[in-house]
Amino acid sequence: MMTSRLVRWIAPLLVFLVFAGVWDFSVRWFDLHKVILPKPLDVIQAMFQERWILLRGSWITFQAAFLGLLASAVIGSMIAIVFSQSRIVRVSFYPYVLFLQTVPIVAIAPLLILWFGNEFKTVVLVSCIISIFPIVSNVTSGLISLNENLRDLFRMQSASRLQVLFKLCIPSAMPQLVLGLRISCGLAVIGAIVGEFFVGDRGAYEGLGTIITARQGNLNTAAMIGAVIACALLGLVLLVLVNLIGTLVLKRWTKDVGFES
Amino acid sequence: MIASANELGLIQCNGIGISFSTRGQKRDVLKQLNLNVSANKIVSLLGPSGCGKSTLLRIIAGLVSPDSGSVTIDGAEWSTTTTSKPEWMSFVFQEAALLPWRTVRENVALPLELRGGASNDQSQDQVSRWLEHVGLGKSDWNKKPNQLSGGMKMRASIARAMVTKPKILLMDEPFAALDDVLRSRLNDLLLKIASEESCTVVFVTHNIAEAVYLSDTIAIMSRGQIAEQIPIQFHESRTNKLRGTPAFANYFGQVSDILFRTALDT
Repeated sequence: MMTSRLVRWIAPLLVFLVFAGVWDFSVRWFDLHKVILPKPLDVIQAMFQERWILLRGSWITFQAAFLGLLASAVIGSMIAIVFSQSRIVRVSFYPYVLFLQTVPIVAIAPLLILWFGNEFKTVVLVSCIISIFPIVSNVTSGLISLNENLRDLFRMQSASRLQVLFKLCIPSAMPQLVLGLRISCGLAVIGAIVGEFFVGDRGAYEGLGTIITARQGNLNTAAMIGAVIACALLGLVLLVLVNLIGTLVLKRWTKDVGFES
Repeated sequence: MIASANELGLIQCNGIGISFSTRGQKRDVLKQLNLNVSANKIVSLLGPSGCGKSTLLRIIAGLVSPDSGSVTIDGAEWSTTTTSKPEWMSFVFQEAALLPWRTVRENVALPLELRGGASNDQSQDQVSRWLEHVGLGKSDWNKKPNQLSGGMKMRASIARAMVTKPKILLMDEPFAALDDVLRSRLNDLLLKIASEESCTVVFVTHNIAEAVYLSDTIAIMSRGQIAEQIPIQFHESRTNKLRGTPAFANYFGQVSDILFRTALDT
């Protein structure tokens, strides 16, 4: 047991060391300029030097992504509830929700900034728009694909529409909501960073996206890579957080919707 | 009121017909089916898969509208829009159909809750009484359904069905997934409840022995109709010993004969 747990930590670490080694070796071998590709140690150094900027930027971007995800969870669930109540509504509006999924976020981000300004709330909005579709589609399918026996049980009791919605449909859809959140949380981070790209340094604050664009201007590749790593870590933190919340919620809800850790 | 309906049958199905379309092909599931169920009796619907047993049960429950014919309960026309359903009947499904996010107790209280009366003491007593009555110990009341065995889930499901004091209990192969010992225990529980509560039961099953053990009448279905109705009467009381008696074997043989014959016809 002990050894297998050890392997779980050591094996990825070894992969990382080999990867960093190859990276370092390639930079030396091909004699690459540090603007093209800095050495791993340069990146670590740059990250250390900018640690406070990166931490503050991560915190800001985290807030934007989290609020964006929260907004899409609330708004997306409400849309799904409306969708679940009528087939006509569903059929009429679904294409437009799909539109939110298919429209390239990079294309509408400048528009949103034009309308809502170089502000934090615009970044939240971009994050919300990009992450709302999986919530709407998952929760809608959770709300309408009910266990037939359970639906009959409520019909036998002449339950009202609202009773069916609140006591059966919504609780039944909780696992689907959590699933939607898991899919969306990565998108929310992407949305926040893309939003920050466009807000750029015209904005009053510095998220990770803003840091990346600024370091790009300085040709500080090591710091850029450092910020990218911070973005990835941020996505991971949000995913872990969502999984944690999801597990807590589902523990109350269903049998074995455990998350593989 | 029930006495007058008794002669006619508490549940009357008159000329029920229904067909379903699958891939453009229309298939008659029930054809001009007539069935009378007297009050306080247990009637089993027995027949091969796909003969329309469950559909008939769902029509009686008012969950499905027949294409033709009608159902009357205690002399009154019955349909999918009837609102007095909860006062009359409960349905027990093949799977226990418990809400996985509610505790056993909350599940049993659900029908009362949907009628807006679960919070008063009387209702809570009623819930506790039925939980005890079906044999669920206090330690199980606050468990979630996934912490219970199949038999216990079915007990909870029966408690939930009975908590509204229905006059009619409709059961769709409720014990099909249980092993023989559990099944016979739950058969005894059902007999006890039906007689104590003066409940009329319509019971769909595949299992001949179960049908013989439980029923006052076995209705054998074939090709969308009731092919034959066999009244079952025993001199002995219905306990496990009954299963070994010649009379039981006799009925068992008779029923399986008819089942076999009707199956050959199709």
